[in-house]
Amino acid sequence: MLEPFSASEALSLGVELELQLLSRVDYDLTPVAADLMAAVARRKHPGDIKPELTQSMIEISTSIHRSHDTLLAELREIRDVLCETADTLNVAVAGGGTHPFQHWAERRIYDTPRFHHISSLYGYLAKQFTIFGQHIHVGCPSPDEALFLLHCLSRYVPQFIALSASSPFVQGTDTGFASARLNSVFAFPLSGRAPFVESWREFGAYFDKMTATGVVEGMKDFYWDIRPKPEFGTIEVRVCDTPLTVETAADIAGYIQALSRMLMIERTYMPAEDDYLVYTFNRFQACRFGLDGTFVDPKTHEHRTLREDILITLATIDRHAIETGAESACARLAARVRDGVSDAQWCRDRYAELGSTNELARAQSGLWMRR
Amino acid sequence: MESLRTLYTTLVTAPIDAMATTLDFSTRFALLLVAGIVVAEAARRVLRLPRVTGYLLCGALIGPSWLGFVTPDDIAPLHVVGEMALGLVVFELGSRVDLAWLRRNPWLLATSLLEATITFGAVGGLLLAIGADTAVAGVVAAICVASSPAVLLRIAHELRARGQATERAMLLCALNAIYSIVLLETLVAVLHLGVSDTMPTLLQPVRLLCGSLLLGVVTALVLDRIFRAFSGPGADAFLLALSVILLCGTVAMQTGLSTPLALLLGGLLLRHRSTRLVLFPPHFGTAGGVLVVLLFVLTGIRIDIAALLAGSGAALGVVALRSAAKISVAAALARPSGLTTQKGVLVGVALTPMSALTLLLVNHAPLARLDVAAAVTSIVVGALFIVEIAGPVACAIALRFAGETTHARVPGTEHARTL
Repeated sequence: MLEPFSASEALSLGVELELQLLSRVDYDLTPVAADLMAAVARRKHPGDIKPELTQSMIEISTSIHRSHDTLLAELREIRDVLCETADTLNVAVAGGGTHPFQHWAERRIYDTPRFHHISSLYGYLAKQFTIFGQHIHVGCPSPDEALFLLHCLSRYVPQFIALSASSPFVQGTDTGFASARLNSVFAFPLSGRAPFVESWREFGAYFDKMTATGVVEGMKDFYWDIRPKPEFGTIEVRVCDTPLTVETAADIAGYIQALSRMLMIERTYMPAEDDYLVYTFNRFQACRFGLDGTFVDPKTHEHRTLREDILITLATIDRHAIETGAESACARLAARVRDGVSDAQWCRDRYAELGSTNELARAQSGLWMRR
Repeated sequence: MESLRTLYTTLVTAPIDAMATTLDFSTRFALLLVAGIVVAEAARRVLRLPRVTGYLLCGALIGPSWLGFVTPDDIAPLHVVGEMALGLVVFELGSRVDLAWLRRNPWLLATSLLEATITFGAVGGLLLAIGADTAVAGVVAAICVASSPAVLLRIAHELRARGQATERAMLLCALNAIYSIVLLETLVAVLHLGVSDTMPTLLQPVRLLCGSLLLGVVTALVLDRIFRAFSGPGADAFLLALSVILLCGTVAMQTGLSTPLALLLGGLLLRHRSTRLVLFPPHFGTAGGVLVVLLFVLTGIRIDIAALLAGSGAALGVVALRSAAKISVAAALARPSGLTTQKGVLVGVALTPMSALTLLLVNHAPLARLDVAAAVTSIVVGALFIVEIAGPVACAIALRFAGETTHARVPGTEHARTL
């Protein structure tokens, strides 16, 4: 049975970031999450710091915010506590959607019955899932409003991918993708997009049919790009790579919040089933080419680059960005997009300069930890 | 029974004895290597023992304690190789250890100093209490401060261990080696002062420590230059690095400096100074691996059951108290240093092995000239006998239980968030 959708304040904001834990010897992933959790439990900090699927990942999440400024302040505070604690364990923490050279066979996963189930079902995919994403929660006053926002934001998914892309390297090689992380997600059978239903009642019916097949047990079994989170009363945007700094992570969240405000208030964009005809094409372009990817407008069928599409969107939401306090965040993103600055390009530049993926991982952690 | 023994002597021991006198250096080297690898593989498959224990058992088996195929005299020409191999191992350990960690977490330095002090005090106190000579007690206690860099590194490589317990044990192990060498040198110099005034005795440890440090600094600088010139470590850079390390070991031996101290400091300084990551393959690849296997077989041969029997009571007490000291301090200071007490215990256990470094220290030339040498050797070699076999197994169990080895099961961790 689908749980009831708990109402939340419209446009409230929360962020989760999955982070890499690296050994200072070679900057490979290191299974230290349990030790870090034990050490961090003795310190006071806002938000939440939680273990993740494997021993070399950790997740930080913020409390609920109304604006970008307080969100960023809290993210910085959590980052500082985490980094100070990691220092006492001589562990490095890094952002980025993938670890540049980790080998999936070496990963160790929290020993739980659920993992054994996942592992036997998905085989190597489960271990290959050592990838690091940013999840952004946007509060919705009602479940129908949540589904409306979900389908509207689907049109902008390629933008979110291009803005956050920080995973060009996988297993020691440049994949040519701006976000190679999402390739791992697409391999899962229940990934992709939510079905096009516009009311919570219809969504409940779909959910019941799926659980009746025995394929899923709960919402957590859907790895959709955007999914409703009835427990929090939010929709959760899950396509972003973890950026290389908390500042970029907060800017992207601020942008999504201002965009959501525009979509919910102006009602100029009406989602339709046919919007999804170009969905996978657009998403592929964003993963592969980042800001230079081609975007096909689902309504006009016009082709433009994602860079152009983002700048157009930023221009249309500026009034809402002022209202939500995301003005400076949007300005910084606009500057990045105009100048062609991206985390994926930063990774490629550092690799070219430093010559090894170990050094790249070290540079990534230096950027995250501000060392 | 008697006829069986005669038959065995005729068929096996006698021909080997005959052969042994005619074997050249490289043949001995090769035979020991083959024997070590075969026995270790058998021990691993049949008894599930770590390979290190297999190499050591092989040495013990063919050495004077059991079959007597090889006597310590037979392997005398190989000592240089053993010392080189040990130098290589401590260099590798040093290059993995991050001294900046001590600044980030001063509790680790406190743990290290306290652990060494308590181990020294406990072992020395015990020996005094059972009526040993003060000099013997001091020297044995100084030797007991050291852990086993070779066993720890080898086990960590074999189990592909990564994590807090592994890294902390390596840091403490490297520091212990430095303390132990410095303590022993100083004590031996003081003891020499008592018996002869012909040697510039008190200057000797200063010369040795400063000389070893200087040699370590030069080695680190040369290696840093090499990695820069090759723009990062690669196969050729590794081979050149290996040659430089072996050269450093040779210089240390020729000039009467401490090979392990010079190379340990060299590794630590290289890691500390280098702006680039210093990444060596385990034991510097196959070439270094061969030397390390030989090191363990040679160490095994030196295990002497007669020494154990002679000093068995003292040896048992020393092993028990030394282990208790290391484990209890590591456990007691675990929480302030940011680790659970349980993992602190495991770090302590990983520090209990004694091996090649201990043997090198006990055979240290200036020590051997003292009349306490026999008593010291009897206790330490007896203790080694116990720890050699049990140590690697304990170390492996500790790292496994810490959940830091590949395929490790992690007890008591939280439920995984779902995909």
